[in-house]
Amino acid sequence: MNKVQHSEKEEQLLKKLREIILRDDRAELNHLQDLINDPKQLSSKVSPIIDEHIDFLKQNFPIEFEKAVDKLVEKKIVESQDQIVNLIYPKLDLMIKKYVTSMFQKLKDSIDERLDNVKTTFSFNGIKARFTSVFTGVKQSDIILTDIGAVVIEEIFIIQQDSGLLVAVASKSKHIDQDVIAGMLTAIKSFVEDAFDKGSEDLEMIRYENSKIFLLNFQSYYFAVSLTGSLSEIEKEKLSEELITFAKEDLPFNINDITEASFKEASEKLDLSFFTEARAKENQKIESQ
Amino acid sequence: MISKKVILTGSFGVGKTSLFNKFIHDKFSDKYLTTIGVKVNKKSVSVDGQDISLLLWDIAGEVSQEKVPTSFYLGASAIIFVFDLTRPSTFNQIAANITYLKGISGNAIIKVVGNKRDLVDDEDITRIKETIEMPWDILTSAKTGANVEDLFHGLAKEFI
Ligand SMILES: Nc1nc2c(ncn2[C@@H]2O[C@H](COP(=O)(O)OP(=O)(O)OP(=O)(O)O)[C@@H](O)[C@H]2O)c(=O)[nH]1
Ligand SMILES: [Mg+2]
Repeated sequence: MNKVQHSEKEEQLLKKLREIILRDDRAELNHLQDLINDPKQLSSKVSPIIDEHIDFLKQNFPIEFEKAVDKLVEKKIVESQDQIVNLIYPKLDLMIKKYVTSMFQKLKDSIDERLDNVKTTFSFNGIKARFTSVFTGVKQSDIILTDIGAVVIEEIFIIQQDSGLLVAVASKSKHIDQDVIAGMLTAIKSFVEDAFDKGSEDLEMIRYENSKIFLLNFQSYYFAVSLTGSLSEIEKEKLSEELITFAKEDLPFNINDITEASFKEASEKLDLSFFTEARAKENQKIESQ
Repeated sequence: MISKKVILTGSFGVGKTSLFNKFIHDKFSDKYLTTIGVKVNKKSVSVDGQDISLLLWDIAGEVSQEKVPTSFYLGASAIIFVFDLTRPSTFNQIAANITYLKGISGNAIIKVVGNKRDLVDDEDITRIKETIEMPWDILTSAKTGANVEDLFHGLAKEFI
């Protein structure tokens, strides 16, 4: 019993003793606790230290640090190139379309200003030329194709780049004024390409209301294929390949001197390669009906 | 048949389209419909029994020739520079204009044409002749048709 009592007393003594010994520490502890719990107080204490540290970093690390970050960014860009390109392209396409539209608007406005009587002569077979242009390399996925249906090649022109003169032409059915159309196409192509101050980008597609003209450029001449229906990427590839094969196999090397004979020969070959078979098929169809 | 690209250029309203229409369709209108961009049309002419097809590019007039897209001039066999005899502003820069055109067109034939001859008299012509920086090749009137055929036939002759 005594022992218990003693120990109780001892306990109380010890407690007191502890309080006496630890009082200062406890006060310190409480102060610290307050400091941590109050952000204002904490920041006033910590900020100078951090600032000092930042200053130190600023003075001692930048070169090494920059190099490391640069490398990291570079690597990231290389790794995600496709992603970036995909992100940018649709925007580019939109910008180009907007640009063409605004170019034409500007052109029209400046002339409207000059006169009241405005006639659009930038026309194709008399149709008002409302066209959008698509440059090579621009993704077409977000271009809405309004007319659905199988592609039909109506007419193929081979046109001298600079002069717009016809090298050869073949079509599903006979058309008139093909050399005038060739000239107009070249004029439009020149105009749009000039407006963009293009480097290596060539105009790839011209659209007028319902018809499309696909363009494939070579050094001294270009193909202009007038189509109805919508041309898928795969069909476009295939058509390009066929045209390239034709260019390699059937076009005289020197296209610069167009003569009556060269025009006739190239046009016949063009007809043979692209229309003769289609025409025969169509006739067969008619006969079997 | 051989084809040649021929460009009609000069300040606005000088009568490029009128010369083009007079030559191709034998038509003239007093109405002024300014050209936007360019219009291409053709006409065949016969020179000493040989047919030659002229592909005429009627381009929108610009006060300063530098404003015309240079690619329009590529591959041209001839450039017809038209000025308006009634408007000195269309010919007072003529030397600089022709120098510029020569510079960008390689070896194309350049013809200097004073149009609207019907609106000026002989006295005016003498006066203009004294002040203009360089001589013209021919004076035309798209309205009366004077010298229009001669202008294009003359060119065709030079091509052969
Ligand atoms: N009296 C007269 N009027 C002319 C002659 N040629 C053109 N005009 C008139 O001049 C105006 C302008 O003629 P355009 O042929 O449209 O001029 P342009 O050079 O094609 O003008 P842009 O297309 O704006 O560059 C029209 O009202 C014509 O009728 C001419 O020989 N005589
Ligand atoms: Mg005109």
